[in-house]
Amino acid sequence: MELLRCENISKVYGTGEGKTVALQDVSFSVEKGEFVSIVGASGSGKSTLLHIIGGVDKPTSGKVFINGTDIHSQNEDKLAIFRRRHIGLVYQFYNLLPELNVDENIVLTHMLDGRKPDKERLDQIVEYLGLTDRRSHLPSELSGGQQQRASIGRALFSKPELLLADEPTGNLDRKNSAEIVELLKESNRKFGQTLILITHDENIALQADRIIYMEDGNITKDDRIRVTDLMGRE
Amino acid sequence: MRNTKIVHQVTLKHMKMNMKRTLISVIGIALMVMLLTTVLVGKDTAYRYFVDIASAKKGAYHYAVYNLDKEKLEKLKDLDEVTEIAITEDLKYSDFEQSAKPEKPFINVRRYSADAFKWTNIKLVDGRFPQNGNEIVISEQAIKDGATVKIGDTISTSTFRRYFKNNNTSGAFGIQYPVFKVPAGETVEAPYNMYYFVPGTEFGDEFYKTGEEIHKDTGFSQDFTVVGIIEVPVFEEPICAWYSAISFVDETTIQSDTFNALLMTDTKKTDSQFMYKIRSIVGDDNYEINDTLLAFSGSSSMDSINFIVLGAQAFFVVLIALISVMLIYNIFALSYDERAKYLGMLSSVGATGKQKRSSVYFEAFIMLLPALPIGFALGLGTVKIAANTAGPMAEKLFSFDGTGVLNLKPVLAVSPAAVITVILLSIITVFISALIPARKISKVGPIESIRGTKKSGKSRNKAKGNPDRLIGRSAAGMLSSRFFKNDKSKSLGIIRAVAIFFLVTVAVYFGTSLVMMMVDYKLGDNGLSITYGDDRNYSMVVIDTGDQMERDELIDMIKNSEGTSDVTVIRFDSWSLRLPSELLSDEYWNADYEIECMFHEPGELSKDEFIKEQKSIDRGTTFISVTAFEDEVFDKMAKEVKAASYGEGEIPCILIKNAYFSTDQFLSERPRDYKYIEVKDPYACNDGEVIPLYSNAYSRAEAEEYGLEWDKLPHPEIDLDGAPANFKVIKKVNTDEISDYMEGTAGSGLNIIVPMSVAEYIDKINVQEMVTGILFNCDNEATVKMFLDLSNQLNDLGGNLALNQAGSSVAEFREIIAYLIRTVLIVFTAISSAICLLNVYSSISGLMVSRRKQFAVLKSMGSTFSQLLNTEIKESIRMLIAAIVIAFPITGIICWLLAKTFIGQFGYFTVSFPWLQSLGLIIFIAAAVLLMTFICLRRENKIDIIEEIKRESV
Repeated sequence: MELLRCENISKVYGTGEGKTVALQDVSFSVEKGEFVSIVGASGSGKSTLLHIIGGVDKPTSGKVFINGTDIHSQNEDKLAIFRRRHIGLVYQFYNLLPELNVDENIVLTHMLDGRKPDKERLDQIVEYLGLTDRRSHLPSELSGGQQQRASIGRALFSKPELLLADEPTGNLDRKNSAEIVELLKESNRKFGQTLILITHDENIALQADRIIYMEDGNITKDDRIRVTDLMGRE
Repeated sequence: MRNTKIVHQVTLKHMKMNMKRTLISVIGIALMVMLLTTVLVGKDTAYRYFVDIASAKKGAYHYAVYNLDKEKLEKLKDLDEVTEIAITEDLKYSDFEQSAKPEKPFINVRRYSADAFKWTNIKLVDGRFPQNGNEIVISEQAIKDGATVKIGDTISTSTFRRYFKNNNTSGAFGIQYPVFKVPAGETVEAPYNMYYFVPGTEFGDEFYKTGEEIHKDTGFSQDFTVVGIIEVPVFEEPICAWYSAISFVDETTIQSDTFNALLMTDTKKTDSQFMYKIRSIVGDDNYEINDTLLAFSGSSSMDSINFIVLGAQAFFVVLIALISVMLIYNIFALSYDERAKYLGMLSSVGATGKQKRSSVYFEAFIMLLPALPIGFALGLGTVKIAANTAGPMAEKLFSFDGTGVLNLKPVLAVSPAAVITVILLSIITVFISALIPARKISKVGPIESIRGTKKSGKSRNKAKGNPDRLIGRSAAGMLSSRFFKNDKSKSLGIIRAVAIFFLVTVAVYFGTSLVMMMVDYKLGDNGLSITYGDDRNYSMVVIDTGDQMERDELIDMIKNSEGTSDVTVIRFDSWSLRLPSELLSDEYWNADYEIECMFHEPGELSKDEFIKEQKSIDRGTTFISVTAFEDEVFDKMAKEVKAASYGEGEIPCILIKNAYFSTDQFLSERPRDYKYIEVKDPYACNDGEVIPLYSNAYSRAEAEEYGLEWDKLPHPEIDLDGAPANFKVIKKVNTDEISDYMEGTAGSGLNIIVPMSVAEYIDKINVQEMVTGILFNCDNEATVKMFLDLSNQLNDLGGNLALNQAGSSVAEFREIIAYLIRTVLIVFTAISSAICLLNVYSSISGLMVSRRKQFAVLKSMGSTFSQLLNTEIKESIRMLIAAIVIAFPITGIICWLLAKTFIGQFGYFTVSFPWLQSLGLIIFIAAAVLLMTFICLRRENKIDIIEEIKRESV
């Protein structure tokens, strides 16, 4: 069942001689529960694509459908509400709010939607993330890996259908990277969340169901992983 | 050295990149310099202008001393404080045959030393000043009036003193201006400005029937050569019987036994004891102080004025510095993060702590460079505009002495001291502001700076980790609470800015109120005045209608004349009755004593003896003035103030209880200092009590005691023969409670209000009737003319009455002063508030800029603008509450200190904290903060989310 469909997405920055084409007629779709890696060199347009899918950036042309909703046809407020209910975002630099502790950062999206956080779920998530003894700490008192776990927790807490991760391991060491990817994969498997992950790391990319290769704003290759590979991974 | 240059170059680049914030800083500093310039140059300019006016009006000398002899002159010369002495000699009057005006038949021959011409502003119209005792200058008024005299002529003088003799066997001869009274059968020397009764005129012939002017030769006679014509000197009043003629004198050529001198003193050396030194040499009544000139020349003997001015100046300078430090410090503190990053990078390539510190100082210096001249020029412009606007009013204020308008233009007084002070204060203020941020920034290491893992100031609060706390909270509530608690450096910036705004505005308002209160008191107020009927455009004040017409007839005539309406009658009189002094409160006597002490050396006056003596004066009674309103008006007033009821046979009265004593009430003497003491209730009696009031008529026993012949004394219609009339006090009131009827305070004077029927009774128990005021509107010119003619006729027939049109110059005088002071203070308050608001705006703007990334993250997570606004409004409210909680007690303490200082200097009066105004200000600040928050957040909402999210750390 299709969750995401991108139709002829283009993104152009600037005009005239300074015009830069970041995305060019990009079209693809993602099934519900699918784990997709997007790989490509710096400047290939993968982050721009992710931001457009996440509704934090607008395409110059083209449409993004999530669960059949053309997200960019909504006004700013409706798009914000859609984002907090259906999309979870994980960034390379964590983007936790430095004034909030781990618990507060995790439940923030949920609370923004006017919902009361479920204590049991919070306990579960914190335990799942391995942050039980760090719950009251501020981001500045956490390691990079712990910060990224907290940011994943924030993305997972509201149970969004679509999880977008923009180079979540780009700032972490190998051990932490592996743990973070494992967490994301597990959420994909355990909670059935659709995961789109941007990475430079081929080993990480290979753990996905599908790899989309990008170059100069175009999808150059869209590979579904073979079952043998999949088996090999497991 | 090269490293430092790089640091400075990067700092310049940083400033350019943050042009808006740099501009706000430059504007803030320029406003500070402008205020400092306004305060310092403004004071100098005002002082110089007042000195110019005072010099022009009265003279440029500090003290005038009279009736000196050579021995006293030597003693004066020996005083350390005296720097220069000029001699003046009044040789009195001589016939002036060349006069063309019969009412000016004399010249007043004076002799001045060279400095005396200069210091008394004698100005030449033609010719030159006399250089020896044979030369003289003549007032140009003589020439204008047609006198046959010109430069080169010789005037023969033979001087005399003028005396007036009253040949009547009974009844004094007296005139009100100049105040001059000659008792029956006596001869009295005329005041200098006494006019001349010209024989053959109606006025003159009337005088010469019973009086005569006698001249007594002084023994001085001399011929003078006229060498110059001078402008009319200020002492030559138009009514004078003479023209001025001034010759030359020096110490060796003094002719008279007694002469006068003008003294210049070293104002830094003269203190309040100096006048006692002068008094001890020349006697109590033989000196005059050029108060205005001295006060504005910085004389330390003028403690009160200098205290106000210097105190106010210091207060304003400290306030300006404080506001500015807060503004500039806040701006530096707010830009800490950005600065920390680029300085961290520089630090990583070898910049030392000293170099990092220098970058902050360098930025401060660069901002000061344009701000200093701009602010100074703006300050000069403000002073110039204020001087040109207020100058004519200030001069009008001084022209109430009747010497006319001088048309002096205020000149900017830019002293090197003021310029240096402005520059130094500005530099010090800016560098103090930069001191703490510079020290903080120098301590942050390169990695911490770049990664932003260490914030300025104390470490952040750890958020408490109880998940239950999250339940039931809104996202906005949680975020605002966390932003507030965990981003203290930013929150504190706003809290500081708001607190300073509140503190400064309330303190300036409170200080202004104190100064205004002081001005009201120092002006001697308007006294007690009747407001009932003051909307009528005419009043007929009747002391006596004469023999030909009764008072009631006159009232009826006014009521029935064409064009009159709203006729109302009031009666009033000063000191009509007497209250036993024992019925006055301790508060009243204590205030009387404390004010009297100001005219004595400390410890000189015994309190018990003074009060005992005061209580025994005037037959053990104190005079009380009476105001009467028509019975129905009185009853209405009594009802409004919820007065006690009174029966058929009772005599009701309302006592006015607000009173005060001040040193200004004793005009003839000069106190050590100004003092004002409010008396809240001068009476030792209560509402509903009956008090005895005595008439002014002598009893038989009193007449015998004072050696007066009982039969020859005038007697009232009802002679109580020393017995009191019993009045029932139906209410004691403040004039504030009866403002529709009366306003103001009569100082230490006591006042009662009675109904008209009681006034009739008071008329009967006293020898003299109370004054009647008939207030009415009239729109018929012929009727007004008729009333005017009638009052003149009645006056000719022995009456004493006057028709007046509405309007009061005293009110105008007070209004001008009030306007001037209010304008200055409002401008100051407005500018200082503007700086404070700028500070608040810059703090809020800085906070919002620093939150860019947080906002971007929140938006990426699905926060709407209204949620962000809700968060920030909640945080602003927290900060507002914190600021007010901090500022309120500090403001209270500052106001208390201000009030205490004022009261300590000037006396006791009621001052209250401006609660209502503070509340209004809090509402204004809250509205301003919320509006600024909205504006800044809306601006931040337009920022590209992606750009912010991509940044490495929040």
